Amino acid sequence: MDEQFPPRGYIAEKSLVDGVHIFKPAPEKEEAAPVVDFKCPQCGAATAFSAADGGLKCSYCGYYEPPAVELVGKGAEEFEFKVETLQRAAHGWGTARTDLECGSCVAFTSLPPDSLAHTCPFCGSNRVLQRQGQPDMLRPRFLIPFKIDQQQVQTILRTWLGSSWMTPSALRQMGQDAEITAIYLPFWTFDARAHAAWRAEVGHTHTETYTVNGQTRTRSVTVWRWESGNLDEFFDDLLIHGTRRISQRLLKQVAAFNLNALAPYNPKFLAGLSAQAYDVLLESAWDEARSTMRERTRQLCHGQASSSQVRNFSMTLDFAEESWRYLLLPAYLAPYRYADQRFQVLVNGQSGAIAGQRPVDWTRVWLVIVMLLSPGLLLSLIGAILSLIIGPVLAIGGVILLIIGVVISIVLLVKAKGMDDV
Amino acid sequence: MSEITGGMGQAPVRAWGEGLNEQLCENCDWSFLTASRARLQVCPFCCQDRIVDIPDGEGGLGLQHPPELAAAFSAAPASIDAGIQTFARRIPFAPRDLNPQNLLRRMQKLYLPMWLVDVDVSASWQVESGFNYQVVSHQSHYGAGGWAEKEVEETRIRWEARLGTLERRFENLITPALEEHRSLLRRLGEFNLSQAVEFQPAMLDDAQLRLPTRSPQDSWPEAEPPLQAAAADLVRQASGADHQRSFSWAPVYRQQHWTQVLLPVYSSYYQDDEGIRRSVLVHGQNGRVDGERRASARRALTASAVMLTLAGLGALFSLAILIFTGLNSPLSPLLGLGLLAAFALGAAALVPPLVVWNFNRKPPSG
Repeated sequence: MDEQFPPRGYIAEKSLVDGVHIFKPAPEKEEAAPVVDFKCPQCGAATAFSAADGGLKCSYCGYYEPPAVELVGKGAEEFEFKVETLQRAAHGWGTARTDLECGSCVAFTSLPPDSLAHTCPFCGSNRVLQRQGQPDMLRPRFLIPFKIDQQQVQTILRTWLGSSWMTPSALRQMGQDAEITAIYLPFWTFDARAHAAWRAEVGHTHTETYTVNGQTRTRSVTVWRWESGNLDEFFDDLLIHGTRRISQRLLKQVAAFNLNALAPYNPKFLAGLSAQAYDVLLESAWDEARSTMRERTRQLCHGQASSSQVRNFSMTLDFAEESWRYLLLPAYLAPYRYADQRFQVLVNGQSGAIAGQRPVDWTRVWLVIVMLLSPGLLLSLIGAILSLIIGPVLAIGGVILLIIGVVISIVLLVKAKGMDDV
Repeated sequence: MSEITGGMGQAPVRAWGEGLNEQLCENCDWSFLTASRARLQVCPFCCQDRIVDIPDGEGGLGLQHPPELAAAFSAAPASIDAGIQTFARRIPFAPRDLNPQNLLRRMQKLYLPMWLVDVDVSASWQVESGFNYQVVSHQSHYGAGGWAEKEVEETRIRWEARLGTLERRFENLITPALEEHRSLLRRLGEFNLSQAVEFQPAMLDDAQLRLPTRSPQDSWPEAEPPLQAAAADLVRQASGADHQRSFSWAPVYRQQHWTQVLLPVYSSYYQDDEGIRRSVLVHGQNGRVDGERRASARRALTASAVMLTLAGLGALFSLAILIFTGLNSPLSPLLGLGLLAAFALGAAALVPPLVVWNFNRKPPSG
């Protein structure tokens, strides 16, 4: 027998039978992530993650330290829905962070250790209470580092605030005064393969001619016949939000992340930043993901039918190869106040996509609507009066203009209403 | 020659080989050990009477390996009877000589040898162990009422590498002592060795012992696959795995101990139409019967003759009545049917000889 048995990397395991000795591969040591103080080795000041440089940077002496990690992208490890997974106890956070609960909106965030007081990134409230972190959190294993720095966010914000004629002119200045907070937001990704079998009656319409009392007429006849099919669809990295503290509408507008930039979790990426723990549990997120997958599969099955006329549609769907990941994705929160009202803005920390609330200058909007409707209204009235002389042409033209004006006005109203929706 | 004791503390009953002769069947080359006072006349295997004595010193494995264990003849007469009946029923038009009385009258006891080996094994091994785990999955159905979903638990296997060492003694591994071992077991089935007793020379007073044709060293390679399988199963149990694959090991064998165990079989024969003896073997523990199957052409032809005669008589009778009564009589349809039946019976008379011919085309062994 080999004297160096067992080979390196193996540890002994308990054997249930005498005379048999067993060795198994040693598990990868998960770095217990000792509490790390991010201090500059040159000047002792606190270092923080720099999105512009992609590593730890000291804002006092300029010291820079790149994180020793490689991108894993979409090949990042995924986990199955094991029975015990759903009941697994949490891993704690990796650094000496302070877990805080906002007394106003009850948002739960994890803050860098040198934060004594701060503005809640969600609601702008200054009242923050110190609480312990919830014990059932899973430790995130992957994240996308920030690519957009705060200066870029300010530029994006300023441009966005002044980009619509519906907003007050003074709004552009708010871009300089907004408190921008970099925060990692929790997301879940789900993979699954959907095997579907469907059956439905599909209608095919054709016209036929027939004769009644010597007169030839045509009619449409729909012939229904049963069709069936199978579908095999793979859903890759369906992204579901992990928090309900942020407007779901805003999240959906900015949540186009490029997951090829995923990197293994490293406390250095969070240095000096905030991170939001998940409050949407894995099961709830998976329920939502499955609902999305079911509907997409159903639409694809509908698409397989030979005609768009479908009735008595039924299908069975079996999920397989299900897996999930818990990620932290970068975002900037930039709440601001205008006319004693608070508005939320969310910026994608990777791509710079922005979404948020903006106040509407209703005076301006109604003025535009009046200007849109006026020509049509005027022309209709004049045309109505002159219709006895020149005929209804002018009136009809006026009505058409009026209808166009109404349609555009409705669109503008909906857009304006949506600008301050959350 | 070694001694066989009669039991603990008792004086030796008989030296091994004392009062025994080695005999050979020149037809099938099977060699036997028989009691001197009960020499073989008919070969227990092929049932031919071409038995000769093997001179002393010219035997093969003959008297070199005295048996240690023997499984007893425990088949009940009723089960042997039932086995013979079942055997005969599976032969269409079985020869008249094939009946329980004849077979039982000609029955001889025969022991077939087999090796059991015990061995100490030291080995390093490696394997992929599979552990079951449960995952939660979902099945959905869409219908008139919308989506309905149910949760299902699926069992999946997690494969992990394992390696280690093994220091164990494996006992009673079966290896063949005869070239025909596998075919014999295929025909008769497995034997139960749990009730095997210590061999006594007196057991050969009314039975013959088929001599081994394979030495322990020659048959050892056939012990290695089951040994590896036993080791793999042991490793699986040791690791608590639910599944296993790609087991490999590097064994070192020590202290092999060989035991010859005897398996009980009855041998008999029946004669076919040509007077040729057809061998029949009976499992000595459960009465299962297997042997050469030959159907009797004579009986088939007899049956055909009877059918043809009946068909002819029926046809003549029907024709005669038809002629006397005329075609217009009310009996005509019945008589017509009678003629048809006679023709059908006549055609069916071809079946028995055809069945026998087709049956006997197959190889005679069971």
